[in-house]
Amino acid sequence: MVETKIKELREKKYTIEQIADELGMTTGQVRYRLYKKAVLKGSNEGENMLTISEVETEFKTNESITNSVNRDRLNPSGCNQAIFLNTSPPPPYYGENDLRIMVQGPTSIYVYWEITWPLMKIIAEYLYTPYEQLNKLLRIYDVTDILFNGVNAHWHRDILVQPTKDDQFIHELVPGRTYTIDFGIQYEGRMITFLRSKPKSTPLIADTYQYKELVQYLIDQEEGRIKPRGFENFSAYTIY
Amino acid sequence: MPVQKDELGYLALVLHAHLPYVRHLEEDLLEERWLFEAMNESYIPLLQTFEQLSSEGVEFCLTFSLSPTLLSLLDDELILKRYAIHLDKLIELAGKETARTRRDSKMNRLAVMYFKKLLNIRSYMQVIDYKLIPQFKAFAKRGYLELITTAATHGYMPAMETEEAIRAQWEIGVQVFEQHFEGRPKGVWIPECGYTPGLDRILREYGIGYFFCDSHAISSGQNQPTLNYSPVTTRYGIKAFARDQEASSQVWSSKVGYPGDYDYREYYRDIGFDLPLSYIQPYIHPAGIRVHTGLKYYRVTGPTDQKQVYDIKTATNKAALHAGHFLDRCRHRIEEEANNHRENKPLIVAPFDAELFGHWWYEGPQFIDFICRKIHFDYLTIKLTTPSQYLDENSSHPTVELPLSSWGRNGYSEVWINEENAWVYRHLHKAEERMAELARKFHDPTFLEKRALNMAAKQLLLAQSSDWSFIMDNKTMTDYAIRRFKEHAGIFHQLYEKLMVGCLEVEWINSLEQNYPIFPTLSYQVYLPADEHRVAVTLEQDSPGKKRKILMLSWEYPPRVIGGLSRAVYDLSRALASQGEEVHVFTSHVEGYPTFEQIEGVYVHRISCYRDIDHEHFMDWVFQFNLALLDYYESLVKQGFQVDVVHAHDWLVSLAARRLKERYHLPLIATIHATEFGRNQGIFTDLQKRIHAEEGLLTREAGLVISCSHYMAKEISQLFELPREKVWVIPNGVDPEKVIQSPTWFDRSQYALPDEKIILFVGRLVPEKGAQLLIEAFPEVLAEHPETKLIIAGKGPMAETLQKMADALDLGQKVLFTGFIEDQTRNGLLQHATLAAYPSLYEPFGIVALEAMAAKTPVIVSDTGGLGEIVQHGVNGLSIYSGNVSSLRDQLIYALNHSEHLESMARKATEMIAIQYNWQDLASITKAAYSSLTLNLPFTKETI
Repeated sequence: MVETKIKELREKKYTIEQIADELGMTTGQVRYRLYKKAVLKGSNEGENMLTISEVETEFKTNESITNSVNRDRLNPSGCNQAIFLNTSPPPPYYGENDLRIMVQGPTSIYVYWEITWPLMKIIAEYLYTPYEQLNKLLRIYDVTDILFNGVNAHWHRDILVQPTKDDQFIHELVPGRTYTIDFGIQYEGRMITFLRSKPKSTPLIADTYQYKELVQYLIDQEEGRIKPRGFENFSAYTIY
Repeated sequence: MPVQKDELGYLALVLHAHLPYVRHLEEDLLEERWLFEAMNESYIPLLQTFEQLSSEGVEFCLTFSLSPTLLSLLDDELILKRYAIHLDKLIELAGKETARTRRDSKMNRLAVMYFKKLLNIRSYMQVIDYKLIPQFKAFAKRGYLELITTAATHGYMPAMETEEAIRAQWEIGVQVFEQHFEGRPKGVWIPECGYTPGLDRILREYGIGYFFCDSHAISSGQNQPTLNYSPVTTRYGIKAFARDQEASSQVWSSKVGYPGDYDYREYYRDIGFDLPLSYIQPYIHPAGIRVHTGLKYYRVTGPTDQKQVYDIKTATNKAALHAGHFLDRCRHRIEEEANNHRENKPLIVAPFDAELFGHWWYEGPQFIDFICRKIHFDYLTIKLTTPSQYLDENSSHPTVELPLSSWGRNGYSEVWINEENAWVYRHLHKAEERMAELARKFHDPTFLEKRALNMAAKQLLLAQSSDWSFIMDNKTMTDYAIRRFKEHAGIFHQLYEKLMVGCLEVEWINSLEQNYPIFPTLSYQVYLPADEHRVAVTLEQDSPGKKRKILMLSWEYPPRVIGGLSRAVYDLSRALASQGEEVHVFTSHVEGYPTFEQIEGVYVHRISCYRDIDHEHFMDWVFQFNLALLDYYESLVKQGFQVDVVHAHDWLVSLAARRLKERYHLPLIATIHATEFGRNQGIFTDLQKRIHAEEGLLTREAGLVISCSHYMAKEISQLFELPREKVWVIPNGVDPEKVIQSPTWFDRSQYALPDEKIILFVGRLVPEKGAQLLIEAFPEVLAEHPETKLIIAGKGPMAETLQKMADALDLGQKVLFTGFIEDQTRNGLLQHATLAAYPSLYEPFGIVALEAMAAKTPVIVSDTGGLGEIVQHGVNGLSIYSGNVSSLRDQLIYALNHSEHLESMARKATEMIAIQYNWQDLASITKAAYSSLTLNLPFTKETI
C-alpha cells in the first residue's frame, strides 16, 4: 500500500518532495496521507462513537490551524464592500424594426418582433387609418431550398396577430423545412408586407431520419474561418 | 496484474461539472452555496474517490468537463475564502449534531460520519491549498482523467443568432482551459448537448476533435445499424459521440433510475429545513431563509412522507449492486453488438452532470468507485475509455448530417425557448449584434473604451448562460434567474449606449470590474468577423478633405430605363461625379444587375423589396420600396456613413426622402420631372389623387425644388402653392457623345428607300406625345412631297390605335412603326433623318428635341412646355401651335421646301446645345442649389 511506502521513505528521512518524486505523486498527496494519520480514520464506517471532548479537541486543533494559516493567506488585501452598481434592466424596446424566428422544435417555432413608432406612423399615413385599427398579420412561408422573391414559396399560412402581442409561438409546422415570416397589414383583401425575417430551418423528427453517407469534405485551410457549406440557423453578422 | 481477456467494447463515463458564475461582492448570498455544496458533496468526494482508486492501483479513465465559469469560481480567492468560512461553520454544526443526536445511536452514527467526513474534507483542502483545479490536472497528467471544457458561460448554441457570438463563447472557453491546463482540449462538452448545424464548423476552428450530442441526434433507423455504439463524423470532420439512451436513463430517470432507490439518502430531508430555527439559525442564510446543509438523516424509503433513518452500510451495498447491474447491462449489450460485423468495437457513452454524483445522489461517487473497481478486478469484457483513446484506436466513422438537437425535454429547444423564458432572446440577439458592431467600430479604442468594451463582452457572455432560461423553465429560483439576466443584459446595453455616445465614467467601469472579475484576459476583439473582408468600397468618413456626399433617390436608373427620369439622373450624377462630388444613387433592384457598383464615378446602390414590382400591387410596391430605402440608409449609418444632402427625383421616392430629412436632419432637394396632373391633364382617379398628394408633400417638404423648364416651374408652383422663388429652373442637358455615334451596323435601307426623306418621331406612344398628330398631318405632306417617309419609333399603349389610323388613311408603306428601339438605333435614325418631329401636347422638358439637335438633326416641335423654351422658331428649329394639325402640316412642308434654312437652324441648334445644355454647367448650377441649402442662403439663383 502506498501509505506503507510513504512511512518507509519518511523513516529514511526523505523530504516530502523526494517522497513525491519517488512515488510519482504530488507533494500535496503525500502530505495528505501523512496528515490523515492525525485525523480519525474510518470516515465511512461509522464505528466509533466520539465523546464530546474528543470532538472539541479535534475541532479546536483544526480551528487554530485554519485561523493562523489559511485565513490570512486567503484574505485578499483591502476592498470587498459591496459596491453599488447603479444598473438598469435592458430597455423594453430598441427603436429598431426587427422580426426574428427561433426554432423551438421540429414542428414549432417562436417569432418575436419590434415595430417602431415611426414605422407605425408611416403605415398609418399610407393607409389613412390609425395603426391600432389595422389588422396585423404574420405570414409564414415555406421557402425550403428556394431563393425567395416574395411569391415563390412552396406554401404559406397566415396568422392574425393579437394587438398587444410582440411575440408568437407557431405550432403544427412541417419538420425539416425552412421558414421565413412576413409581418404586415391585412388590407382590402391583400397583405402589405413591411418586415421580413431571416429564414430558419426546423429539424426532422428523430425516427424519420434517412441517413445518407455524405462525401467527406476536404478542409484545406487550417487557419481561420471556414465558410458555411449549407444552410445554418445562425450567420455571420453583417450590417446589411 | 490479472490477465485480462481482450475487451469486446467500451464504456465512456463523462462527467460534466458546471455552475453559473455566482460570484457577488455582497456576502451571504444563497447562490454561492450552490458552489460550496457542489464542492463538498460532489467535486471533493469525486476527487477523493479518484485518489482512493489510484492509490489502490485501480486503473480507470473517465472524461471530466469543467466549465469556464466553474473554473473561474474555483480559482477565485474571495470565493475560496468564503468557502473556508462556510466549511468551518458546517463543521461546527456537524459537531453540534453529534452532541444533539447522542441519545439516538442510529442518528448519532450518521452525525459522526458527517462530522468526520467534513473534517476530512477540511484537511484535504488544507493540504491542497484549497485549490481543486491542480488536482484535476494531476489526475489528467497521470492518465486517469481526460479533461475537457465547455463554452465560456455555458450558452445555449441553438438560440444564438450570430457566428461571432458562438465563436466568442468557444474561443473564451478554450482560452480559459488553456490557462489552467496547458494545451487545448481535445474535445468539448456542448452545453445541454445543444447542437445546431454549423456548430461543428466553428469548433473546428479551434482544433476541437469531438463533442457529445444527444442520442436521438443519431438515432439509428433500421437502415443504419452501423451508426449504433460508435461516434459519427460531422460534415466538417468532427466526431460526435451520442449519449447512450439506456445507460443514461438507468442513472438519470427519476422514475426508474438508481438514485431513486429507497435505500439511498433522501435529498429533501435536510436539517436545514427540519430543525427549529433557534438551533439552525446560525448555519442557514442570515435572513432566516432555510437552506440545505448537506446533513441529512433519512433515506428515500418509498413514496411516503414517513422517512426512515438512513443506513450507510445498506446504501453502500446498494450502490455496489447497482454498479454491478449497470455493468451487466452494458456488458450484455456490448457482447451482443460485438457479434454483428463491425469495423469498430462498440462503445457506450454515458454522460452526466458531475453534480449528480454526491450532491443529488449521495451515493453517486460510491457508484463510480464500484464501477471502476469492477471493471478493473473482474474479468469483464468491457473496459473504460475516453473519446480520445477510442478515436486513437478507431478512426473511420460514417459521415452524417447532425440535426438541431439537445438533451432537454423532448429533445430540442423547448426547455430554453418557451413561454416562460423566450422573452430574453430579443435582448440577447440585440446584444449579439451590438457587440459585433462595437467590435468593428472601435478598432483603435482608448484605454477606458477598451475596458468598457471588454466588460460589455463579459456581460453579454454572462447574460447568455443557459442557466437563466433553464431556471425560468423549471421555476426553482425564477426571481434570481430573472434578476441575473436583467442585470447582465442591462449592463451590456448601458455600456453600449455610453460607448456609442462617448460618455464613459471611470468610477463606473472600476466598480464593474470589481464586481465581475471573470475572464480577466478576454479581449472584445473576439467578436470581430473571422474573415476581415471589408465591403468592396469603404463607405467611411475618412475620405480626404471630407468630401460632400450627395444622395440621389431615383426609382429608375440604368439599366432600368422607362422614361426620361432614368437618363436625366444618370447624366446629372455622372457630371457631378466628374466634378469631384461623391454621389450615391439609391435605386430599385434590377434582376441580374449588381446590388452595388460604381459607374463612371457614381456609387449605385440597387435595393430590393419584399416583392418585385411585377408581382405586387403598385402603390404597395412603392411603399415597400421606400421602406427598403430607409432601412438601407439606416444600415449604412451604422457603418458610419452619412450624407450631406438628399436629392429626390419625382414622387415615387417622396416618403423616403421626407423621412430621411426628418430623421437625419438633412437638407432635401426635389426635382420634379413631370407631374401627375400634367400627364393626365387633371386629377381624376384615386390613384392620381394619391400621387398628386405625394408630389405636394415632397415639394412642400423640400428646401428647394428643381424643374426642367419655366413652364414646369410655373405649373409646379401653382399646383402645390409654392413661392416662385423656391422653384429653380435647371434644364436637363444632353451629352452629344451619346447621340452622335451612329453604329457601324446601322442599315438605313431597313427603314427607308435610298431616296426617301425620313421624318422621325421618337417617343412613348401615349396621347400626350402627339404621334397621332403626325399621322393626321402626314397625308397632305405626302401629297406635296411623296419622297418622304414617316418613321414612328417607340412603344406604348397607343401603338394599335396609331397603326389603325395609318391604315385608315391608306398610308401603307409610307409609315413605319419600329416599336421600341435601342439608343444606338435611335442614333442611327437621327443621323439619317431629314427631320425630327415632336408634336407633344404635354412636354415638361423635351429631351428628345435636345438629342435630335445634338445629332445635328433639324427639329419641329410643339410650342408647349419645355419644348417651347428649347426651340426658338426659325432660329434653331421650327415650332407649331400645340395640338394643331394644320400648323404641323404647314411647318413640315416648309421644312421640306427649305433645306438650307433647315441646315442653318440645325447648326445654330448644335451651338446652343453646347452652351446652354451641357451637363457640366448644369451640374455646377445644381451644386449651387445644394450649397444654397447647406449654407442656408436665401434661395435665388442670382445670388450665386
